[in-house]
Amino acid sequence: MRDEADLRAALRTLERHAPDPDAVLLAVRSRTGSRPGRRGGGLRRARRRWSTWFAPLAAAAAVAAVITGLTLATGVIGPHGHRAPGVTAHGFIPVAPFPRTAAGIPAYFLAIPNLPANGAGGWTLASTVPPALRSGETLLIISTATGQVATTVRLPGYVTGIAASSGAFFAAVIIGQRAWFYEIVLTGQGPTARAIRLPVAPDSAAFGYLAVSPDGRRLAYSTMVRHGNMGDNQNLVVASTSTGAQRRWTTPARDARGTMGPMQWLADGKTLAFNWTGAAMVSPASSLRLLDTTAAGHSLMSGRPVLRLVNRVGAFDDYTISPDGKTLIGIVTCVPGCGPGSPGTIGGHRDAFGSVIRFSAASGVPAMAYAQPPLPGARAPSTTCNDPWWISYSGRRMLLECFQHRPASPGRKAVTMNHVLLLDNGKATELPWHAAPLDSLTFPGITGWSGFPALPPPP
Amino acid sequence: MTFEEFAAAQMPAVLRLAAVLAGDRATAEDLVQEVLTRAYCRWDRIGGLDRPELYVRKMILNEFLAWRRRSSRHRTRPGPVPEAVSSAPDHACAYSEREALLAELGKLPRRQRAVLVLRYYEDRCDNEIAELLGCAPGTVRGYASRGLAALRVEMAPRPRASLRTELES
Repeated sequence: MRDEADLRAALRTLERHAPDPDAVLLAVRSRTGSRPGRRGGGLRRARRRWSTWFAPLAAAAAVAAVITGLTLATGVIGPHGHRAPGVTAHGFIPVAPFPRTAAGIPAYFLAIPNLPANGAGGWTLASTVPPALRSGETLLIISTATGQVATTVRLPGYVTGIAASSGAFFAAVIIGQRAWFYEIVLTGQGPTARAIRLPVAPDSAAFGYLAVSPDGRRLAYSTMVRHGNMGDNQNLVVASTSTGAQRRWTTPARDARGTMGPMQWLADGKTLAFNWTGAAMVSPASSLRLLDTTAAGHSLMSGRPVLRLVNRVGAFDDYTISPDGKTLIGIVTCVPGCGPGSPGTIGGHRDAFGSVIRFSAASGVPAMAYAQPPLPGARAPSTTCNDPWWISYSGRRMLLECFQHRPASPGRKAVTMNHVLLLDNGKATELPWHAAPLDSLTFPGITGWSGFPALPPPP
Repeated sequence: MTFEEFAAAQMPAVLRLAAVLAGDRATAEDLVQEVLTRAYCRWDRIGGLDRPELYVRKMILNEFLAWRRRSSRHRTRPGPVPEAVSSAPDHACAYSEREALLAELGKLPRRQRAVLVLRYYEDRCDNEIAELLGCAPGTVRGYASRGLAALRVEMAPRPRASLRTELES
C-alpha cells in the first residue's frame, strides 16, 4: 500500500543524487570566469570575473608592477574618439604583426581590468553599468612574457567586447547606448597605445561577442534578440574596418531557442567559427559551426557544424579552433555522466572535469592534451582550466590559465592557485605570472572575449 | 548577502532540491550549474533581495521545467518495473516498491512532479508552491491530485489547518 509517507520516503532517497557542492561551485566559477557564460548566451553570459580569492594576489601584482618601474604610456582619446592625425582616410591602419616572445607567442595582449565592486558580488548588469565606467574605461596591454602591464589605453565608454588581429587590438565601446568600434594600435618603444574610432556604424542592439579577422580588415560581432532582460545572441554582423560596409546574418525561426557563443576567424580571413548552443546542450545543433562569410545567404545556420558540444568525451561549454581550422580545443565542463550518449571517456578511460581535450576537426577523434594535477590533499574534481588565451596556427601550442582548488577543512583554509601555462604538444611550462586583476582579455589570433554584454535599457 | 554567504548557507538545500526534482545526479548537476552560473552573474541584484534563496529556488524550478521540456526527446525514460513474483514479504519488497514509485514519479508531467516534490519533499503549502510556480493554488491542488492519482498514492487525512487554508483560498 502506498501512502504519503511512502512518497515522502521515496523522495528523500533521491537526495543521494545531490551533486558535490565543491564541484558545482568550481564549475560555476570556472564558467563565469573563463568565458561569458555557456549554453545560455546572451545576457546569460557573464563578464569575466576573477574570483575574490585572487584579490589579494591581484593587489600584490599591481603593487609589484608599480615598484618595478614599468613604463606606462597612456594613449588618451577624446570623448568620442576623434581620428588621430596621420590615419588613413578610410580609417584602416595596416600594422605589422605583434612581436613575438621567445616562445613564439604574441608579445602583448589586451585586458579589461577588474570592475570595481558593484554590490555584493562585484558583478554588474550591463543595464546598470557603474557610473564610473560610463565615461570611459582604461584597458591594460599586458606583456605576455611577464604578465605585467606594458601600457594602457583609455576608451571613451564602457568596453563591452575586445578582440585582436595579428597586429592590433579592437574594442566595442558603449557610448550613449550604442556600440562604437575602436582599433588600438601599439607604436614605438615602451610601447604606446592609441585608440582610433573605426568607420563602422554604431549599433544600438544589445551586444554579444566581437571577433576580428587576422588581417584586421573584417570585424564580426553578434547581437541579441531580447527576451525582457535576457537575450540570445542570434544576429551576426560582419563589417569592413576600412569602409564600414556590412553584411548581416540572422537566425532562422526553427533555431530561435539557440544562442551564439564566442567566435573566431580562421586564418583565411573569410571563415567565421562560432559556438552555437541550441535549445539544449545535448541537441545535435549545439556545436561549433563554420560560416563562410563570403557565401551568399543571410542565414546564420547556413554554415556547417564541426563538432557537438556534448559528445562521448563529455560536455564542453565551447570550443577554440586553431586558425588552420584543423584542431579544436575544449575544456571538459562536466564530470562523467554528462547526459545521453556522453559517458565521459577518452581512450576507454574516464576523463576529469577541467581536462583539456584536443579534437581533430575532420574526424572528431579526441586526445587528452592536458589535465591539471590536483593540489595535495584535494579530492577531484578540484582543478580546471579556462579556454585557451591563445592558440598557435596548428593548435599544437596554446596558452592556458589553469586553477587548482582545495576546499577548506577543519583547521585548514581553502586554497586556490592559478597558473598561466604554455602547453607545447603536451608539455606544460609555467609562465612567470602572478594572478592579475584582469576581467577579460584577448590575444592576437584568438576569439575576442566579450565583456558582459552591454544591454541598453529597454526602449 | 554575498554569493559566498549564500553558497555556504543554502547550497546543500538547493542541491538536494535539484536532485529530487531531476532524479539523477548528472541532470541535477547540470540544472544547478546552469542556474547558479546565471545567478552568479546577476548576484549584485539577486543578493539584494529579501530572500535570495527563494529566488534561486524559483530559478531552479523554472530551469527544471524548461529543461525537461526542451530535452524530453533526449532523456532516457525509466524502464518498466517488473511485477513482484513472490507473495511473501521480505526486505526487498520495500526497496522495490520504492523504486517502482520513483519510476512512476519520473514519468509524471514535469509540473505534477514539481508540485509533489515541493509539497511532500519540501513540505511547502499550496500557496507557497503556487507562488513559486507562478500559478493559482487551485491549479497546484489539481496537479497534486492528478500526480497522486497517477502514482496511486493514498492521501492521509489533511490536518484541519490545511483544510481551512484550502477553503479560504
